[in-house]
Amino acid sequence: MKDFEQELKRALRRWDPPDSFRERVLARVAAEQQQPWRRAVSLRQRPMLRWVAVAAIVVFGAGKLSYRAHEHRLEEASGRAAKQQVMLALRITGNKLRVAQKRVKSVEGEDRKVGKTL
Amino acid sequence: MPVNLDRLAAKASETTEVTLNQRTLQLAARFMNDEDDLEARELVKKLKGIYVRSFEFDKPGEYSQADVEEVRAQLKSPIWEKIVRVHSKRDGENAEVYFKADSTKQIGGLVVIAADPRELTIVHIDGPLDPSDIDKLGGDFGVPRIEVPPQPKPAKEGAR
Amino acid sequence: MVLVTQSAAVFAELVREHQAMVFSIALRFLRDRTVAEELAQDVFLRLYRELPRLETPDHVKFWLRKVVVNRAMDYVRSVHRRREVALQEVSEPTFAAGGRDPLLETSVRKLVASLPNEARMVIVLRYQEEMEPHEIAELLGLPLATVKSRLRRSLVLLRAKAQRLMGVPTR
Repeated sequence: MKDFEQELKRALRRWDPPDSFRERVLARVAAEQQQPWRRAVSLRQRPMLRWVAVAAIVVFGAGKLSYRAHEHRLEEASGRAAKQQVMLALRITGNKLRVAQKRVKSVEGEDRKVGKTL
Repeated sequence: MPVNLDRLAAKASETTEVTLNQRTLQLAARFMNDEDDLEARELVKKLKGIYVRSFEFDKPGEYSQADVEEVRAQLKSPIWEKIVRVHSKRDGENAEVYFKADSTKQIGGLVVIAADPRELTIVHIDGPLDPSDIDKLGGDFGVPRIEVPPQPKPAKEGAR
Repeated sequence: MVLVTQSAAVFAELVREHQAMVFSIALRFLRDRTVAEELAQDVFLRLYRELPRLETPDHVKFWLRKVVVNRAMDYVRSVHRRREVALQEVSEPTFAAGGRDPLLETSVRKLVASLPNEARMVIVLRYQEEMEPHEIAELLGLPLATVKSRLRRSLVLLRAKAQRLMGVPTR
């Protein structure tokens, strides 16, 4: 068993997420905080920085858009999967209710036969 | 789920779980747009949850009547009423159906316990169900047209 | 875009330190890299909100594990039916060959993926995260006896299945 446990440890090594994972997390945090960055210097005093800020917002905004598209795709996949689960659950429910119904009918049938002979 | 099933899961060789809370049901309903889905969608939109636990066992006798009794015990409250209980000694199949009363005279929930020697299935549908809902939902996606009494009746015992 | 505050720097370092742990636990369960990354991001987003209340590095690690385990289990329970989900081939990274049999490792990973949810999580926490049974019990809120029982049964099952698999020709 010890050898197999070692094999399990080897097979279940951790995987690294994609390279940009940390950047995406930080981007989401920043988006939530609505404080993309703090500056030591006011933008009004450094016009060039203002253009850098605009460019960053555009890039960041594009990132947010593609993230939303990604979210939409995920939601659609989740919704379709949830629908499959619902239909499965209803089928299982139906099968089991049918068992009950079949048995009730067979009991009622026997009761009627007994009633006829009495 | 109104019942605690960890012990059964620990004994089973295979477990099927479906857990659909209200949020997931609402999400699913948004994608139930085919013609065949429409009746089911109207039901699903009203529900608070659908929970299925199905346990398969390698051999008969790996779960006991005491295990099933533990499940039944959790339905022995004033709000749950046993509508149907049928038992077949011949093939060991049992089925029970419970309804939950709610304050608006609708059926507040439904539990089905179906037990055979190597499989035990518990289904809980949480949410308002009209008797006509249960009656209507027959056929296509598997919930049969079950005769629902206008008011819950005492459980019928199966032939022994 | 750069977060320049000190707390942001601390947070960024926590992400670097724990991202493999969080992502791997999510991936073991969800078996979809995109969804696992999404879930892992959500977990770190929550960490950022929760950070002022977490006192020590151990507390952070425990909290992260607990949240990703709970979220992964919730997701799988609500969306997946275990029996009908085929054991999809997760696109796996290539590890440097270290004299190990990659086919065997892939098979073992698939067998773990085939376990019921609760048993699978116990195995992942024990052998991926190298947690002790009492730590797993505390994280999952289960009795220690239950954790040990699930570990024991799962190992027996996995080993038996692996032995059967090894006997089957793969080419």
